[in-house]
Order: sequence, then structure tokens, then C-alpha cells
Amino acid sequence: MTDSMLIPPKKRGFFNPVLIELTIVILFFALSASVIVRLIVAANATARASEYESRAILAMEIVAEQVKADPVGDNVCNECGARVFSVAVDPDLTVDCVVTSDESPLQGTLYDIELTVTSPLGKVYALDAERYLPDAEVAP
Amino acid sequence: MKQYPSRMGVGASSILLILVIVSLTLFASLSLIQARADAALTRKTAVSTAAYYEADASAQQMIAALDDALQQGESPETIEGVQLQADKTAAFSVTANDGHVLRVVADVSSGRSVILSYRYESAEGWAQESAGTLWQGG
Repeated sequence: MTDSMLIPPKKRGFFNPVLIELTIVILFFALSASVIVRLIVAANATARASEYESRAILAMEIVAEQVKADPVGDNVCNECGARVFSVAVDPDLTVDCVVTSDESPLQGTLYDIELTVTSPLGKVYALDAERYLPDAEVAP
Repeated sequence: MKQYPSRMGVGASSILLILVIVSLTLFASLSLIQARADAALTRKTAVSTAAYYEADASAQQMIAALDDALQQGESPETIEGVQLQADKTAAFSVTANDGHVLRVVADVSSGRSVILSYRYESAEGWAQESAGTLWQGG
């Protein structure tokens, strides 16, 4: 029997420093990742909202110019005397338009154009425009 | 069976974690800053568009009022802001709230207003800089 056989084998400790560090690292990573994911989600939401707003503004401008070019249109008005119609620009973007006419000017008609876009999240974007059309331009 | 000692010492995973976290935080912050900048630009565009259409609506109302005045045989100058020029044109401008102005010139000689000019431009005039630093050739 030698001396080495008398010495009990050295047990590896249950609290291995590397394992403890790895545990702390994983916990800290999970904590940090939750904060970072929130940042990325917030950035994504902001970018999507501003992208939709840009498209809505551009679509409303296009529709406003189209309506200003021909405010009479098909001249189909509802019982309130307003022409109400919608223009689908994209599957998720529809411009709602209300055109009302003011006959008080002596030599023409003043058209009030109200445009709205409602986002899928419920936010409403609005744009108002007006167009004065002299009677001489309406008559063929 | 012979056990080899682990090559990874204490602290290596911490350093790796710090690098990963710093990188992720940097990219997330950059994306958030970019998104906010885009949103600010979009807001400016919305304000500018609304200002233009507001000025345009005011101009259309003034043209209607101008036509009314001409129909009633009144001078275009009875409308506030309208100036009658020597060449029988009426001119007026509408100031937008984003630093622009809509200048309108209409011919009123025929008894109704005919738009000659409809310009939306910056309210501030531009100052020509000295061209002394430019290469003049030769």
C-alpha cells in the first residue's frame, strides 16, 4: 500500500467556479436580452407607424390632387349633398373622401375636400383641401 | 480515462457576454434612433403638407372672393390682401405656417379671375454668396 492510495481522491467541488460564472452569465444574458428585445420591438413599432403615416400622407395628397382636378366627379351625392367615396390605395390603406360643395360664390362653386385614412391600429390621419371652380370651367 | 483540464478559464464567458451585450445594445439603440429620426421626418412632412393645403384652401377662398368682387363690379383691392397691379392683374399671397408663402397672380381684366401664376415658395429670400472661391477658368 502506497501513500497515494492512502490519500483520498480529490473531489471536484460542487460549486465549480466556471459553472457558477456560466450560470450568472446566462441569467445576466436573459435579463439583458429582455431589455434589448424591448428596444428592438419599440424601434420596429415606431418604424412601422412612421412608414404607414408616410404612405397615408402620400396617398391623401394624390387623392386630393385627383379630386381637385375633377371635384364634380360622377356627381352622385348622398342625402346630405356630399359626395362620399373611398379609394383603396393598398390592401391596408384606404382613403375616405367627402366632397361638399358651397354654392355661395357668385361665379363658381367652392368644393371642400375632406380626406381621412384610418390605420389598422385605429389612428386617423386627416387632410383638408379646397378647390374653387368657376362656372365657366364647369360648363362644356 | 484521462481528463483534460478545461481550456476555458474563469472570466472568458463573462468577456464574451459583455461583447455580445454591448453589440446587441448598440444595434438596438441604432435601430431605435433611426426609427425615431424617420418618425420625426414623417411628422415634418405631415406638418408641411398640412400647411400647404391650408394655404391652398385660403388662396382658393380668396380667388372665389375675388370673382365675387369682380361680379359685383367692385375693385379687387376691396378684398384684404389683394393688390391691383398696373398690368390689370391682381396679386395676393398667403403665408403658410411652415415658412412658405403661396403667391398668386390673376388676370382680372375679363371680369373674372384667370390664374396666371400660382407659386408656393420659401418666404425667406435667398442671399447670393460671393463667388470669389470658385474657379473662374483660365
